[in-house]
Amino acid sequence: MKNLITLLAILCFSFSFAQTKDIRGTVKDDVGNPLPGVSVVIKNSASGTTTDFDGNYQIRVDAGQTLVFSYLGFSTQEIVVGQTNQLDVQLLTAVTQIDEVVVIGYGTAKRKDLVGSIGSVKSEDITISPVLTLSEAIQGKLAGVQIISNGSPGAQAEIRVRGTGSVLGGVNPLYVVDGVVTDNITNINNIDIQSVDVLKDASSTAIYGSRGANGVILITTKSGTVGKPKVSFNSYFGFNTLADFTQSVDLANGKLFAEFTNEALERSGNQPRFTDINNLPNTDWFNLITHDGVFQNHTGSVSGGNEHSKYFVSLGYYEEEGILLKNKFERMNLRLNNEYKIGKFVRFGHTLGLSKSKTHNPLTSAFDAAYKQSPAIPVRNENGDFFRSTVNNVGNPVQLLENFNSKNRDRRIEGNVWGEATIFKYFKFKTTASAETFNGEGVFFAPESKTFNDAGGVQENTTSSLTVSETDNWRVIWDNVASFQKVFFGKHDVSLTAGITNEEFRSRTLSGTALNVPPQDNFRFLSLGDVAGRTVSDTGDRFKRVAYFGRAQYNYDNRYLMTATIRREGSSKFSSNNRWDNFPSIGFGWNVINESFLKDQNIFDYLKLRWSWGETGNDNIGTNEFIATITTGLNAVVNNTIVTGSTLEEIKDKNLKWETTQENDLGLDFSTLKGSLSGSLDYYYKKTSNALFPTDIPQALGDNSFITNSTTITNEGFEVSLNYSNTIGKDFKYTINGNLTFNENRVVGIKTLIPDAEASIISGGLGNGQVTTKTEVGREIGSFWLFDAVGLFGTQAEIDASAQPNAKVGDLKFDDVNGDGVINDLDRKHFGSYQPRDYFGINLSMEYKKFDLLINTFGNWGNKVFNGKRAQRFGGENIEIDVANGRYSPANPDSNAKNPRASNEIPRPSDYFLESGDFFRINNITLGYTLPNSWVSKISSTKARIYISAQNAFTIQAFSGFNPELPGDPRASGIELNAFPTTAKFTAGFNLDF
Amino acid sequence: MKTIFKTIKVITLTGCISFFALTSCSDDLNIKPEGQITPEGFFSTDRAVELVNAIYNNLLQWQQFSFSWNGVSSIISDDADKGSDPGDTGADKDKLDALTFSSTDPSFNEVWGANYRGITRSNTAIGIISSPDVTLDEAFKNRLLGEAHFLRAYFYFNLVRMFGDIPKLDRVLDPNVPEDLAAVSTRIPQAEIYDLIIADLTFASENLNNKSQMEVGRATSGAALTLLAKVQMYLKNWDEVKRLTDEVIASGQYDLQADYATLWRESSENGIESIFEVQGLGGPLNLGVQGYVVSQSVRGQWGWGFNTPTEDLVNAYDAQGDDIRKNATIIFAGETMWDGEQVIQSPPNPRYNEKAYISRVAETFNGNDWESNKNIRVLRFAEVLLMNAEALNELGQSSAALIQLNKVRTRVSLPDVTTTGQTQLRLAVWNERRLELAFEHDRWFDLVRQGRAGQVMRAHGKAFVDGKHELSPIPQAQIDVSGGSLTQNPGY
Repeated sequence: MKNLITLLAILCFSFSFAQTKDIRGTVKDDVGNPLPGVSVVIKNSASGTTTDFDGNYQIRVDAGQTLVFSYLGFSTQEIVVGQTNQLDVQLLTAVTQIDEVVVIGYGTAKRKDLVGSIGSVKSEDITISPVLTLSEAIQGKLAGVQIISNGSPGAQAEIRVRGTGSVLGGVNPLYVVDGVVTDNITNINNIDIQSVDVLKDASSTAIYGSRGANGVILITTKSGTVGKPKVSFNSYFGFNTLADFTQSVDLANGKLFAEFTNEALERSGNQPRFTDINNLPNTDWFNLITHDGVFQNHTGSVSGGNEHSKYFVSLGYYEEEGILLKNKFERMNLRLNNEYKIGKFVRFGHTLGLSKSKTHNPLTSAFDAAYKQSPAIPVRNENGDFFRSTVNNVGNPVQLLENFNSKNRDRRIEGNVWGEATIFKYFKFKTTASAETFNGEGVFFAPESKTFNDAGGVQENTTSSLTVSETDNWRVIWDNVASFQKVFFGKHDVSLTAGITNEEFRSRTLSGTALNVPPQDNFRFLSLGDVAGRTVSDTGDRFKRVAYFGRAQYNYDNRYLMTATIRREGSSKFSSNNRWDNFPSIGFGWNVINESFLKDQNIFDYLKLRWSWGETGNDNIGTNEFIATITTGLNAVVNNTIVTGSTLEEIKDKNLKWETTQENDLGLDFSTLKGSLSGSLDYYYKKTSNALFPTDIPQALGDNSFITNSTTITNEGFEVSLNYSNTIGKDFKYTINGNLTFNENRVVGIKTLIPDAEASIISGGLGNGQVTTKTEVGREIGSFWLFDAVGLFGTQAEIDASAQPNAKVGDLKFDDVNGDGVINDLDRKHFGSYQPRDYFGINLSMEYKKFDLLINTFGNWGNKVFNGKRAQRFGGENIEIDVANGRYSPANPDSNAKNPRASNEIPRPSDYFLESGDFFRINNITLGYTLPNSWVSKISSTKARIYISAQNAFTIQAFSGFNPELPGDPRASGIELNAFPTTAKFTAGFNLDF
Repeated sequence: MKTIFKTIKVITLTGCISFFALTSCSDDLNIKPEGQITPEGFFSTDRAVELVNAIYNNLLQWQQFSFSWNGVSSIISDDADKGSDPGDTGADKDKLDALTFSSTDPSFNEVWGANYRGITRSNTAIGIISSPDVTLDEAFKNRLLGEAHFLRAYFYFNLVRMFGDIPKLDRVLDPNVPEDLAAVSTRIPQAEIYDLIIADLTFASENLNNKSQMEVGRATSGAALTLLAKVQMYLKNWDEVKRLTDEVIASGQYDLQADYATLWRESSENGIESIFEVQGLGGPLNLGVQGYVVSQSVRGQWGWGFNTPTEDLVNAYDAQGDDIRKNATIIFAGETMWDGEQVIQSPPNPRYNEKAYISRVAETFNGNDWESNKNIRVLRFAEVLLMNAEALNELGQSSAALIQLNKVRTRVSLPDVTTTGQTQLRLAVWNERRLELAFEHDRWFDLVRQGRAGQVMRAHGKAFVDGKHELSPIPQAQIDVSGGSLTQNPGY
């Protein structure tokens, strides 16, 4: 199959009278797409041409001469001209990273021609391991792209491209699926993905204007290829289990808990609670609320096509049980991507993705309750009722799960219809109408319950209640793009693109509640509840964007490259004064390798330098943040009925505008050792100005926060990615791919409404009145801001001389930083942040004969995580063995003890709870075996592979909690406030192609 | 053939260009906020009342009238302990109880913010309703303005008692105007704040109708007069206190309710003794004071168990043999409640606040203890009598004072006080206030007003520092956001 050349010779005209003739033909790539710009030259002569935008060429040639077809990224083909006048050629991709074609905004480009920084992952690398979401599949595979997932089935991970560039405006990248911008990609079946391209630098993302600042992830789904129908089945089965063999958090048993609790009570002058500590229940709550959940995934697809049409159809089904009881996720996908050619110069097609999912939501707070609830109580009391703890505010985890009943059904349709006309030889016009609709239904049922559940909320339900909500989102985009491409005088390759895009988004959420609905599963309808007490809520959103954009690419002699883009964009999210802005970019590249002075060297196979600059925006805030609207629902009771109240109390910045990010990128791409080692280095400096910041304002104004463009943030970093492939002997092939990113985040300026006012955001609340982070100038966003624990008090004299006169021996001693004899917020210090200094991925793939082995790893270091669940402990809640053991106690009066005395007091948030966030995770090990052809051909299969796989099976982490990967708000990430155990998956599956 | 081809191309090209033109025409980006109301003209007619309703809504907020307010008005005093489990500090309630609090403790910031939010809503209502664009019946307009002024005075009274000198904001502020920003960061002497309160309440008393003519739950002229009397009492303007309380008494709108034990129950809501109450509703639809009931209910049985009566308070009742008010004010561990409910034998605290009790069996309760039916009695007639008595005594009319004082005592079957010595009678009235109004958010401010907070609290074992603890610390967060323009109270 190697170096396949397909020659389709069709004799159309016969010119027998001349030896010199015009040869015509089309050059296509290996999937049948026409290739523009392919160099077609007559061997050993100076004459030649290039293919046009549709891959067509025409050249005057003598029979017997040899035509050389060459194109970057493809293997060069030589064909001797015979009798035919039509010579269609299919070029095969030369599979090296440098030569690949990447998707860029509103177009594609060859990697060699890029001036910016784009990371790509291809289909094979996405589907080789059995993971549900794209973010899992590309985790650790791209430099500059940090993916933080919490491991909940079907959940979307947080992605940070080159650091955290905003506080409030959203920090996740823009997703573009086949040209449809979206904010959710969990509906896409990984097997349907052809390629993922991550636009990282501003010159690449500026064409997305106001949404480019956090990077852009372009997802291209598969399309059919010319040939007979190709059928493919992929299935896997497996189970989820607690990854507690490497990441366990061991909690005290009944006896240790009782000892600790008694000691804490005695120390505060109270009576001990437990008298017979040897005869207590010993409830393992985690064990009672978790199980090994099974999952399965099946996808079948058919693709193919001919010269008039191409098709790709796929159907997928996924089902997964989480480790938490009752948690279940189910998804069905259908994809239909077709393309049709009508006449000579018009093509049109569509992509269509339908997905439907059903979730029994996890009550993740049950993990929390299991972590906190006393092990010294039984699940149920003698008469079978759930046992209720009175010594803490924690629900009975088993009961919480039993009473919890929350389901979601989501339906999403996204796709587009496009038409493309090649009007003149070098000029094309494409119009694309895209739409995305989302319809989500949520049903939440709370049965009657007489038990204290959670502090702060409704603690008993004397009547059941049902809440049903319906969300409808609707997004339409219409893109019109004209493009021109021509090589002038053989060396001046010019491409121009210009377009207009229009986007409108609407949403509506309708929800209602009714009381006293019967508990049966088939009665989840509001009409079955009481008429009295029904409530309804109905809200919506709507915004529009319009943009004009253009791109000019110039390539001189494959040596000097230049790309410039501009986007002028308007967004309804801002007032008319600030609505429109321009987002320019420019970049230069130098393919040094093509210079004559490097002609004779044999160190580099490829060498390119590039520099780019661009400006992007971020408008990812609420729709009406600049308009003070009436606050409704401020109701009151008059005459024993509810009367509506509303007022005008919002303080809004009328002049709100988008955040602007400027980025410089300096990069180098190379390939050496005969192509076996290739890589890229990039240095970037991103400066976000006018970042939206919720500045605290005097509460006397009636509102305590004011969102305004006040902050300047920088991200500076360095990325390296290296790829080494080689073979040992005939049968052993291997590839090692590594990437490493250093990033430094800083808040460099904050303007405040009142001069000299404190400009910071205090965040990271632990839910017990304590806070842990402060975002301010000179620090990272979400920097930990804590008391400095300097040891334990050993003696009363030491206490008397300290700033903590009420402390007891064995308590943590804090540094009185300002020496004023009081420990308060003025004594807090910054201790670093959750943002890693470096993150990396190492991926190894090997093939030996029919076996393949893939190992994916990733990790980060240089960040901190806060053990919030430990620090938020209220009295009477369980403790970790690690905390209880080695504590200062009457039996162990050692002021150097590892842990302070037993206490029921709410601890101060100090660096005692701050731990290193360094970790290294082997997130995927997959071992596959391709069955011998002699076996599979019996069932007419072309390829059959079976494999086993383990996800998240092994982690080395410094953190004593469950998981150092802690996604969240940029102001308060890296805090493990809720217990959330990591899930490991073990899978077996097969791929079968016909 | 070729020409036709070319023509098609030209047509297509024209089509493309018109596409561009077409799409660029639709760049109208003026979208009105979807489902959100913009202010233009919204309040100009009958919806003006909503502005006033929104001020009442502030009284229901957790930050305004619940946990933090209990902390700074009750737990801080000798009537109440923090309560709850020793390990559950309620953020800073332990420090309020022990008088070891500082300016960074969140309760002060919450109460500050909530009262100023109430003031802002009042200012907004006054600003909009009194503007010429609003066309309303003059009497109705004045009534609404009267309510807004009453509520603004109420919020200011809370703040001035706690913090002393505070920013004086009596108009709608624009944060883009430097003078307005300066105003929120400038403390104004409390005398001027009191002037504003008195002016507001005077306006309210003149523009509001009396109780029988107002909708239940709204401020009345009687409420305005009573609050004004109370304000004058803090200023020791005894003639005014006497004049105003006399006027309330003479209005004939109020009387003592015969049975003290039922005063805080649903059956007595807005009853004969009620002058101003915060209204909660606990039917199928809930709207109530957030967390007021649950935060104070018996821990381990009905709630979190904060703000518990002290032994000192029990002793104060016992010293008078005052069982009726003791049992109506305090839930004891293991007791059988009036509705037959059995309190658990050994909750973490020996006593709980009965004035925050709601019956699950004999009163309207739909299971939602976060927002319940409970009304909070802010002003009631017994206090009018006690203020009248205190004023009469201060004005040297002790026998007239005794009549009013003993009305309150007779209701709870206590013997008459007979002393006519001004000092003893003053102490008797003060003690009566304590027993009558326990857990009605006045004890701490009374002690400070009476000039004996230090003496009483130190006797109670708390390290009260004279010259410091009379005022609460200005919240550090507010000093920070003011750029340091707000000054701190002495000692903090």
